[in-house]
Amino acid sequence: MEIVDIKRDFSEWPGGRVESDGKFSGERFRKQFLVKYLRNDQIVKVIFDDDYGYGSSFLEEAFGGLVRVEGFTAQFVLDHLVLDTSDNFMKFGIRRYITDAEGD
Amino acid sequence: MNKLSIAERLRHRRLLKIRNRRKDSQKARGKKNHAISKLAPLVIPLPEQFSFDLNPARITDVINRFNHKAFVEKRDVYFDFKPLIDIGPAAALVLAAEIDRWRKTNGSSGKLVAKHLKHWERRVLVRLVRLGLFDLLEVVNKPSKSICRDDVDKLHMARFRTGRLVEAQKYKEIHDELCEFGFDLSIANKPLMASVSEALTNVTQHAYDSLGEYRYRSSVPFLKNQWWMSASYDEENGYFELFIYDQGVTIPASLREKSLRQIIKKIQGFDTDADLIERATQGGVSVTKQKHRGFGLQEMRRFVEEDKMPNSLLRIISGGGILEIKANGMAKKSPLQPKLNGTLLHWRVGATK
Repeated sequence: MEIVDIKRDFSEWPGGRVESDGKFSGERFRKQFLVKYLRNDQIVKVIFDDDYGYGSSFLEEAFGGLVRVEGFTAQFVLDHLVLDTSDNFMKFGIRRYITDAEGD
Repeated sequence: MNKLSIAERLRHRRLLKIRNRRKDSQKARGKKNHAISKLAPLVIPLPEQFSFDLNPARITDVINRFNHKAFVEKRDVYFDFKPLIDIGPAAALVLAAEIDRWRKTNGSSGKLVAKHLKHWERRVLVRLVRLGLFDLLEVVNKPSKSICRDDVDKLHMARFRTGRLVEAQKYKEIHDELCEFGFDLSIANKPLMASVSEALTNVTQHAYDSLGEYRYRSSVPFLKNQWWMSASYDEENGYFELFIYDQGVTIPASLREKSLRQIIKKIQGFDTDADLIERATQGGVSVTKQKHRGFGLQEMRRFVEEDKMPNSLLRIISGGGILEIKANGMAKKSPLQPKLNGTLLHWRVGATK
């Protein structure tokens, strides 16, 4: 299992949807970390900083974008992602972004 | 002396004529220039109370007058700060942003100078120094920070921040700057951070899109994707406030469809600007019409309604509408005339010592 700690490996300040929004956007996070592991059929554990407030655009683009942009099926993404956070509402939100992206 | 030939004489006469004609037109131009320069710079006095809590229409009136005179009529314009007795942090942010745009888009010539500083209300001057107005605007004769030394104001201000990207760390800087006054936002910190991230994403993604379509905008230049942010901590009443302002297309203008049905609705009084702002906070409404977008404002609303931030309030002022959402789920809509040509997001959150 691959482990991605957002704060340690990506940024203390992730935010924004696409790369033109800033250096630490959801699109960049998806491309830099998630896509390469999923393409290799690897399971990825994403560790969230539970003191940080993630914007919905960042989360939707990073996780929903796996289905909407990268072409994975929602089920495949859900099967290959482990979301490590104590924030259940965020966890639920991310799963919803992934499943909703399939019909988008 | 050699006599001039007929041809030379004719040529000489022709040149003389041209020279005289030039002189006449220069004279006329000179007179015109003189007439323009004779127009005294226009002074716009700021009202005694400059606060969105007390009188938002007074603020938009002053700001719109300033923009019209400076950009449309191309006049030299000055704000007179002397009448000002009290200024709120949100109003100060909007005022600073408008002057900032003016100087950055060459509406003003040269460096800015603050006139008659001795006659400004001390409380106002101290607040503006604390907010960093003079630094933001690179004022030549900025007052010394020592003026704040004996300040007893219980409303503490964080310095203005501005940018063009999603920089959530600016919120952290502001928060930490005010933390020296010893308050604790506790659980509100996280949703506020998420709200800031979303608000800044909205600015970079949508706020300045299709600005050219709007007639007013075409005469007032804009700084693409620019936002301004500030915050304050009210020690007396125990709350923290955060403000983000952009000079974009406004929420109502970006959502209003130009169909006949919409025009009829507007005439009938439905679909006011405040209605459209509220619709944007109800989710899934995006200017791009894409299903996966348009959840930012909804989430900001949810944080307030579900009491994720205790005793909180979210106020959105955009175009001709104001929407206020409180923790009990109560939403209050009101019109704003004259309109604000931009969007101001204002969060008020309970902060304990």
